[in-house]
Amino acid sequence: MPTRSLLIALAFVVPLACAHNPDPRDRPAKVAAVDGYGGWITVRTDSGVSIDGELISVDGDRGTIHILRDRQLLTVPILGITSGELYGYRSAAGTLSTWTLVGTLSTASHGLLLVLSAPAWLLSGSIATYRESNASRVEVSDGWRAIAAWARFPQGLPPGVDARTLVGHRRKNATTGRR
Amino acid sequence: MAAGSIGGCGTRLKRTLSATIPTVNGEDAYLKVHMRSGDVYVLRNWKVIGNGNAVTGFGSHLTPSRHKAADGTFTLPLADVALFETNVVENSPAIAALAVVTGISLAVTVACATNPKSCFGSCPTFYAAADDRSDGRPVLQAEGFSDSISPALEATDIDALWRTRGRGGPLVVRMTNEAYETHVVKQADVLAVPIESGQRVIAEGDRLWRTSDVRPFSQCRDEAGLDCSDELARVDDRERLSLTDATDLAARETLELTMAAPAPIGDERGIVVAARQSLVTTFLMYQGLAYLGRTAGGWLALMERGDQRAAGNGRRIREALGGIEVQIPTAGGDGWRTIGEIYETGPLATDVHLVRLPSGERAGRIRLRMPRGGWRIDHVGWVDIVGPASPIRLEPTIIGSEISKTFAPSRAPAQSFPIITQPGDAYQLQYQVPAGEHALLLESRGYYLEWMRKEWLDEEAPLRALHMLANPSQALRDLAPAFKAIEADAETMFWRSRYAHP
Repeated sequence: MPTRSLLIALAFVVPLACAHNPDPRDRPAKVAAVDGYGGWITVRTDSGVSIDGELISVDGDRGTIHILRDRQLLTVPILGITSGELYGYRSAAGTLSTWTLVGTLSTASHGLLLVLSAPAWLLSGSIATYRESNASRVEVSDGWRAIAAWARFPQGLPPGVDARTLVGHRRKNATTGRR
Repeated sequence: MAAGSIGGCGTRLKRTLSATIPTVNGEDAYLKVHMRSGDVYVLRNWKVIGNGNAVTGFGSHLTPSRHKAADGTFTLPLADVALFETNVVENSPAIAALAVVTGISLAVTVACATNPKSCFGSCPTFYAAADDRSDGRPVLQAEGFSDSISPALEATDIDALWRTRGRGGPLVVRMTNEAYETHVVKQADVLAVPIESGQRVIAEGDRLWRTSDVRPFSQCRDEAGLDCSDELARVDDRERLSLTDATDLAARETLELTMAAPAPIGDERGIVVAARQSLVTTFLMYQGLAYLGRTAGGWLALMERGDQRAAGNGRRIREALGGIEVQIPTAGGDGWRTIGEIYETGPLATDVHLVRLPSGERAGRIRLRMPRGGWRIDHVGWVDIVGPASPIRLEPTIIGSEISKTFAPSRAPAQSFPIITQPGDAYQLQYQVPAGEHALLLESRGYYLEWMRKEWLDEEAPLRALHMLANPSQALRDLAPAFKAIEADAETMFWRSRYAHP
């Protein structure tokens, strides 16, 4: 495979395999396991508005979800949500895409075997990256029960909890989504 | 390496919610206890106590704002708990899969680095559609002038297009450069010989003979008494290849072939052998170039200046290794005598050769003697000689080209011979075959230049090269273990390294 074709393939295939995680907190799995915060959700409503922020709770009884964004606790009616997705933690997709890039370029040492090994790297790397980038991702279409597992309060919003309670400290980027 | 370096971040989180105390292993998993108040406790080493009324463990207490209130050992009444959440951090299966690919890829890298000779092929290759394939897909049928590794060794090579018969009309032959070499092809003519149905045209050296159709021997046995008649029955890609001797690449083996009932004596009879070399000669040539290292250019220049010693050294290795000897029983029947030898350099395409028997010989029993593991035998049979063949020479009427984009892609494609090709180039040569049935052969002329590879320079050892050239028989013994070590993998790596297969 010509080197230029290889680079073009790498430039397009590997990034395409990744689902972009918009969570500015960049939490790896080990942190998300213990820090107690909710995952990052993005929802689109039937009025054309897109809302994103930390998922605080899914309150099925009230038919709402709560999203913390810019220190404000937003209540979004579930019925008005047309689509959306949640990212529970930072996946290893970025690492895998780099790994695939390095691995594919390393096939230059394979002589003419490159015509087999480079596509094998691209294919397996793209599949692995795609699967990994989706591992921490839950679609609204998967059901609100699946989404709720990644909320800060998976049991629903506790009584008496409000926006001031939720941002009761100034931890960097913890809830605001801003760096 | 890669797996290790990213082991810290290549993890997934398996999260489970439950209204009751989970049954996961308390040693492995984080337990988050969500209290009705909104507080959460993140515990490790937790257990259920008090007849199942409370859970206790070591960890952190986080407020609803997730501010850490305290670290320590906590005992939490289940009545105040809203939900239990377990989080198991596990290694990603995608990473495991890519680690496997990395392992295989590294193995190939190491194999090619330690033995780069196995990763590269050689010679111009010629493909044409085969009559025995209904899909019309061209198959490898010839490789040109494999011995001609410098301008001084420019040679003409005749290869049978055994699987294609001309019946009038266009014939397309695809010529490719599939190796790290520069090919200089000065001629690629098709030789068409008018034949009657069932006849063949076979080359004996540079002479062509019209023959009857090839008839197989009824029995074939190797030295161990194993039957090889099925493998050698016809030209069909089913080949017989033995393994080399671990101590001497020139060690011989024999195959004995017999007819069920000797055919009547014809005017003249011949033995037909369809074969190609194993990778032993490729290994030896690349090993020689590796030993020569930076002096290889000087050695080739000596040949260019007509130094007979330089040219003769290559021949001595070839002679020490040996071709396929065709033998018939001696007059007394207690031994064998060689009546001809077949030698065609190249491991890619099977070529068909003729050895004419002495007048009056029936070929009821013959023997092939050859270096063990040195030749892949596709077919052995016998024919009656009809007479000399007078071919019609056909030059290509149309030359189409595909210039590789890898090496100097701005090159102008050749419109006529000589055609100079770089790795990845392909040319479509179209010939116009006259009406009527014709046997077809390809006559190519030219030479090629092997590209020196950086890895080979690591093995530079001019004294070893000198020893190899001065005492080829000893070199074949010395190098036997090295080839034996790669023999099992060399075939796979060599064929995978190419764009095409025979």
